[in-house]
Amino acid sequence: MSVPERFERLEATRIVADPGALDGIESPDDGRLMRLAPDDLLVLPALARVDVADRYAIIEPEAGFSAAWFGRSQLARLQAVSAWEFPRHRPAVAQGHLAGIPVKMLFDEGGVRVLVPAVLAHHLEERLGLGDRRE
Amino acid sequence: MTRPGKVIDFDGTQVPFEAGDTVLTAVFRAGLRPWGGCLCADGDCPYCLVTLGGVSYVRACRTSAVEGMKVASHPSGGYPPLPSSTRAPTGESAVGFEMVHCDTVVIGQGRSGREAAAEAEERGRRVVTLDARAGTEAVGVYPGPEVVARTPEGMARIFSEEVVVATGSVEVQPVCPGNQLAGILTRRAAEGLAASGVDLGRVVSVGRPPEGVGHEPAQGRLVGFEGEGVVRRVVTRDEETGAERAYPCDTAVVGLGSGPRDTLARMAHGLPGARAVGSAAGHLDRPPVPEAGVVCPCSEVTVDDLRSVWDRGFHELELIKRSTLAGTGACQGAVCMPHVRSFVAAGGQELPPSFTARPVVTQITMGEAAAGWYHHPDRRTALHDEHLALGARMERSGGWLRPWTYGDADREYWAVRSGVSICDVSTLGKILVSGPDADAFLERIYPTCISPLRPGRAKYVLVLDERGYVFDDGLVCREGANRFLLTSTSAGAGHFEMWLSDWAEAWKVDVRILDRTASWGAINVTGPRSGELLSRLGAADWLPPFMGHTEMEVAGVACRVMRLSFTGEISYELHHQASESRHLWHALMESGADLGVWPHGLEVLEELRLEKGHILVGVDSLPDSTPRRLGHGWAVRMDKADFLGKPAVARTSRMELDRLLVGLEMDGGPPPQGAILRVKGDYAGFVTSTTWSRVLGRSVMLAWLYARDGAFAGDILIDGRPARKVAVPFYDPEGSRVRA
Repeated sequence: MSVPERFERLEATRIVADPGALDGIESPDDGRLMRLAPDDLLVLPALARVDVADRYAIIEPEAGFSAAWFGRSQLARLQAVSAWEFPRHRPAVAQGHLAGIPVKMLFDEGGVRVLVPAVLAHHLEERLGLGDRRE
Repeated sequence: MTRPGKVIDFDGTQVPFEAGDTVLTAVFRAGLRPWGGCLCADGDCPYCLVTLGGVSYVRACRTSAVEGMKVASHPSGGYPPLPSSTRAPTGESAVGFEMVHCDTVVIGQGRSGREAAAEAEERGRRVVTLDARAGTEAVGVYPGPEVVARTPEGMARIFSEEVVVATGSVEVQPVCPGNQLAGILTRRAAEGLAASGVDLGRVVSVGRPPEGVGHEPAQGRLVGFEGEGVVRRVVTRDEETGAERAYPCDTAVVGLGSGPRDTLARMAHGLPGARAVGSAAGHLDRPPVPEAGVVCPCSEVTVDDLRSVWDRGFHELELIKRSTLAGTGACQGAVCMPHVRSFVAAGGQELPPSFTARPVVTQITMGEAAAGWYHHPDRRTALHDEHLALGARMERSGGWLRPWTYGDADREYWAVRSGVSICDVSTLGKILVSGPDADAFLERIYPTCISPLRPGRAKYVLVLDERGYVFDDGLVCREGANRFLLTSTSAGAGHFEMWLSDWAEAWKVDVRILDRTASWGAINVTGPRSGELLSRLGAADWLPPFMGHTEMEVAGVACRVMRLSFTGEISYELHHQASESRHLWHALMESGADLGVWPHGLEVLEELRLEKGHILVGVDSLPDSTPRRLGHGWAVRMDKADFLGKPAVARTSRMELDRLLVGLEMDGGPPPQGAILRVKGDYAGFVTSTTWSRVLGRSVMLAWLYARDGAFAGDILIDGRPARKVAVPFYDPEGSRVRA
């Protein structure tokens, strides 16, 4: 289905560590790494354990995001509420606002996975009209 | 058989129209001349404004006639009526909106615009063209660059690398006696109407003659127009002989030159990738110095008005504009400014460049202005639906939607004071700090000593800015030798995280900082039976002492358990993954049912914390509240080597204390927040927090009390009633309940 009904809370792992240590982390099988900042990494899905070459690294389960998948046919709909142009290459990671709500986006050939702070997910559902919700 | 044609209703008159007609064309085709002033029929002048579908300031020349359309002209010499209802008509939907991305946007599709678009396309650019005459009207250019446009579908924000402004020229209007009569057209307006097949009757032209319009050219310089409401004669003067001549007419057409239609170009000026082309980049044909007549029809400014302000010393263009309001009306100077510039130049003044242009260039509705903008989002905790299910009334607080009350404040209050209660405190700021410099970093951040804090212990802290003013407070919990959990106020969490990151960057300290506010839920279990409830959920082995914290499972949920108190009773904050909040909440409610567990909202929490004298930063504090003024000098260690704001705290500590946050109590009901304190009839401060204390049976308050002759008086009146200055906490001053 290319149009989701709603955003679902995501289970991931968040690592804040020395940038060099994050460079050495490999993407898990069937997973993705989202480098949110030089010292900040989001690993999808959640990892049971991870080795980070930084003894001071903060490694935490991440329950703060909700996510939904939008098929390629829905990209124009999302682009129409974005003040920044989506990247054209694939795969790609981008961060910005959709309809005034901060999001992180994981693009691949089939579409895009949109991550939104779970505390704001209801707004994005409403602003995108998911599940007939309206603000 | 004749077939009825399509009509619009114009001021109650049924006006037929033809395909492609604008409202203005249809009205002229019907032989009506409702608008005084020289019509440009091109969106520049303010004369053909109408009210359409309850929306005023709509230009008839830019509005296509549609069957059944009801159009009302604006009242002469006044403002159109406001809508009779402040609500949108039932069924009216929001204005459409989209964001568009391209490489080049070309505003205007005259010859220059078409050429610019073609040239950009040849370069392989993705081009968006806008043409006001075709219904896609640019209304503003912003840094980015970004062009905002009105389209038939709604509003569009267009982002591009290049902006080409090809808006053409605006025709110079006549300023002379009679220039507000109906039946006067600019040259291009006459050409357009004639091309549409409109019969203009007997036409007399002044200046450059119109093409394709049968007319009689008037000789000499324009002196004025004559007629009763509608122009009937054009009067000119022979430049050599001075003789005046009147030309009878039905329509007067003026071709007095043009100037750049450059408002958008000026808006775009200096933006990377923006440029004006064609007539929009041209120069003004400055008209003759006006001698008489209306200069600015929008603000009804005459040539005599210009002379009047000139004689009073207003000689600069900007001053004349401000003193007369010429150029500030519906046409934004399109009619008057060429003439005002000529007037100023004739006085010997050097003409400055055109005024700074700011969006928007034409009248738009509030709906159009709001299109695509959203209200500030309110965050919801993971327990939002649980609160609603319990009948909570939600309120905005610190950027969150939080339960204000569950409908029975008595039940909520006494659950805390005599049983057990839970409260969703997920909104508290929660920030992890780790790194070899974490200890030293926090020593510099906070005004209290951090290093002696042992793992498993927590400490209340103030957060000061460089000026020594309190802007937040919270806890520091040491988790390990080099790792801490910091909490902050709900409203201040975002700012506090940035504050920490900025200082870490500035000081080049080796720390990692992660904000957990949105990721962790937090539930405060409070009341004399809170430990009993937690023990039922697997936390029996070891609960931390007051101001201690530990990690343990509660109802199978991994929690950081902090023992502290904001309510004045034993309290345990359970910090956990937000995905587990619902499970934990329900487990607490179910296991505590026989203990009478019941949640409390912010309304009761305010009362509870005030009874304990706990301040709320931002409510009880002012932007210049020092720890000493707040009565929190105990939270500052001046014997520390350094901390943010220390020099300022040292300096202000040497000054006489001018005001103090004090505890007050009084009999009877509580005065409202903000109530004035008076001492001997003089203003002496105000109340910041106030409540009737159910447990104490009197009203208690925190208030700012101003010093009087170097002392803080005790004989205070609030609303004419005596208030007693007392020590805080009001409730359980020994703290025996929270440490039990």
